[in-house]
Amino acid sequence: MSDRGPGRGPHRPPRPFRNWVQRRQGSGGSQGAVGAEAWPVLTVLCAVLALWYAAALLMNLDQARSLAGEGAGTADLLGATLALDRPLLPAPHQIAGEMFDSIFGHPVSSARSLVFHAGVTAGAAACGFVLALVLGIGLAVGIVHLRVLDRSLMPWIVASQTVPVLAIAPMVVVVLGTIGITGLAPKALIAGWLSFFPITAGMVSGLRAPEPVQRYLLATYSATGAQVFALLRWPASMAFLFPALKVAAALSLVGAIVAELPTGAQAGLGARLLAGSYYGQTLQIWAALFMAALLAVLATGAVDLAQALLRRRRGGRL
Amino acid sequence: MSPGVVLLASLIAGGLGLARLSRGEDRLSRLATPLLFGALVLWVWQVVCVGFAVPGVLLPPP
Repeated sequence: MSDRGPGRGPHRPPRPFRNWVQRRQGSGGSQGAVGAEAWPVLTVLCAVLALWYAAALLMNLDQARSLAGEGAGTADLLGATLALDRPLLPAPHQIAGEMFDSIFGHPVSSARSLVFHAGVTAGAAACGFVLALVLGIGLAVGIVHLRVLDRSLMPWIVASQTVPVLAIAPMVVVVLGTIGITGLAPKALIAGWLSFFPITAGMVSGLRAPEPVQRYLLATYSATGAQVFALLRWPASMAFLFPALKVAAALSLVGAIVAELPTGAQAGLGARLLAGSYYGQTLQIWAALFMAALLAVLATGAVDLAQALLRRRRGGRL
Repeated sequence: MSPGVVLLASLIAGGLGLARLSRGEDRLSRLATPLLFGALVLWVWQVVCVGFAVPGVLLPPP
């Protein structure tokens, strides 16, 4: 039991963690190691960019040819292919330019600002994520402790995820709209619906992770159910919770975007995507997609940060 | 009988039945427990929609 609470006294982190810290701090030629890790990422990135430009050239060539005319030279044609207003597939630099204009070219409160739309979607996703966190952990605790919930509820939780969110979203929006609940709540509910499952599944596995011998040990100390939960099950579940949270964070964002599609929302990345598809603004669509990806990276990064803080508090292990 | 009483009686009877079924270790019990839970959800849904006259456009009965 005395080993349970890292941070409750003098504690020496385990050797792998110490080695990792030493590598990160630069001892033992870590600069070369970090550089070596970056090369594969850069290589893949360059390959993706090259493929993307090639695909953009091929897909936009007909449109550029019709605009440039028959007599245009090869260089003019290639230039026109990568500078169309409404290309079939925008080139990466066009998307970057559109994002730059949408982010820095307008005030944040303007409906033309991508930051404004990202903020609306991020708010709904965050509410859905919190909802999923509470629901997911609550269900997992119930399932682990009550056999009746385990037997009766778990199969239906799994089945719930086979229903496409695109089918549920309009129903939720209409039903809640009928009773006067509009705006953030339906979007948060749909985002929560999509993202609670990984948290429940991860937490059920995590709360069941302790070995029987560990539970028997606590039983010999006459530990109550609450003590077994607080001292054994909950700490053991953290290693399962954070990977589940990363998945849930990304899913809540997907849920929030999908929820914006049937509502006819005026704001949000989903609304931006929809408006772009109505008016054939492919640049706007791709910029919104990249902003959504950026939000997902930020969300999973926030979960990573929380995990690192908890790990540090617990002496380098989770 | 008022719909509230039917609802309460259904929940109590269903809950007791589920608790009893979930104690079994045989394959039939493992299969029957989620099926009974699903049936209970549908029944409660029906009672709520019909008993409390919920508009069909808001929530149609099963």
